[in-house]
Amino acid sequence: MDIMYGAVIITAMGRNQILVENYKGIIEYTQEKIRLQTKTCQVTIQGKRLIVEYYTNEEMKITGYIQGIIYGS
Amino acid sequence: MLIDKLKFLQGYVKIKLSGYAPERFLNLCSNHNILIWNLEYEEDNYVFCISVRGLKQLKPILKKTRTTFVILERTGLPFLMRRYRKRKLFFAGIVLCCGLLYGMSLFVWKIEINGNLHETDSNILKFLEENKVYHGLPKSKINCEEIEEELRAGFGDIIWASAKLEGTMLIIDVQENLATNQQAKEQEGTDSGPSDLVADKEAVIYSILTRQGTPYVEKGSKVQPGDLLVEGKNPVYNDSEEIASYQYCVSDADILGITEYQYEDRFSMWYDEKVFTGKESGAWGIRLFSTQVKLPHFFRKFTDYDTITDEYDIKIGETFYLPLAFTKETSKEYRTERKQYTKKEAEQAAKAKLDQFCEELAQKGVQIMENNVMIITDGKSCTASGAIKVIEPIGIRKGTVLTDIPQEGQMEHGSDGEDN
Repeated sequence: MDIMYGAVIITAMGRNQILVENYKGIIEYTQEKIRLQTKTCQVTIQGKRLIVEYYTNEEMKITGYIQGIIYGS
Repeated sequence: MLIDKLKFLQGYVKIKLSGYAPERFLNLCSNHNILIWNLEYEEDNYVFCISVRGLKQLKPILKKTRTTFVILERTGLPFLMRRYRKRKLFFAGIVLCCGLLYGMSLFVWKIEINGNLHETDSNILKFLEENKVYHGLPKSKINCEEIEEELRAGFGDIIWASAKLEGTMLIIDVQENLATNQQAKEQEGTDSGPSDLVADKEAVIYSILTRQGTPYVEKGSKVQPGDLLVEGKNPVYNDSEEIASYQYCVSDADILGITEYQYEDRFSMWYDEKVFTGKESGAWGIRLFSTQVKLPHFFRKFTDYDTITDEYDIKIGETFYLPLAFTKETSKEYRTERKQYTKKEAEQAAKAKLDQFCEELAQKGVQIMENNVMIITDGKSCTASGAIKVIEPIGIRKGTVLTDIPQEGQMEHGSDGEDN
């Protein structure tokens, strides 16, 4: 099991659930876009009716209608 | 699922956050290890759930991010308890009730006995009490096998017993031996040695049929108590027609004799009759464990009354009896009236009694020949007296006295004088 230390882990289950681990914080959160800051880059999740089911400092779960996961810096 | 229950136990709130930089707020929350969930974004506000503990830690974060919140919902055990904080006794009562019920179920409160015909229930219950099995006994102290053995040993009649515990009931089934009594009587006669039949009462012989033994009486002979009817001794003749020796046997014969039964019955023409006035008074009571509490009768007390007590056991389901019972006592008042039989009524009553006597005799196998009973009524009393002539079997068993004929050259065996 090799974990790339520092990199963000995104687990997508179908089109409706995303599990994100290893991030620093939330930059922006609306119903259509969630922007997260990780150690190395930024992650944008686009979709409709996005809800955060839970949010801790280790992992968070996003549910809704996912349209895209974009990596930016 | 389990986590949901935990969340409920600890209590959480649903709050609406509004302010300048809600994202910073979320980041700060997670840094402080405060869990939030069900986060939604609704027109510039965040709506989410947070635990009560977390809520308390929010104050510094709020200040930093310059946000405020409004509580929308409160869910959880702590809120429930606060709502009922003035109802503590109610919940304590529920707990106490459950505890009592459980405690009650550890004892035996009802003993039921099935299958006994000759022995009364109270006899068996008394016997059990002597052996330390009683109402209110803890279930752990009951040893069913021991009870079964004790019952079998204590009562000669009981050949099979079974004890089982159901709920708070001890059910005991017994099986009595119905055949022994009869068999014992029949065996009595055949065990012993040779026997005679002697008369047990004064009679005139009506018929005699001998199967074993030597008859000493014939039809028409009068016998007195103690007279020999059939001897269990058969003489054996030798060539010169002399008695050589005796052969002993158990006499067996059907002897019918004519005897008389004296019948006398007398009763007074005046009698007391209970007339119920119809007035009743009831009293309720409660029996707990062994103590009884009774409410007093509401109506005034009567001078003469009959009391009927009903007991209603309280039980849950079929077998879970509780040591609690309701008792209802009903008192019915009556008046005693002095009445007199008319001549006809008295005669009828006397005849009825006589008929019953005759029927009892007939059931015993006795045949009635003549009925010479006269019923006389005078002003004060009614008398029925007379003799009833019957034909009935007579003869009781008596052991034969053994003798031997002394022969020339032979010694006499030890014998008592015997009537020949």
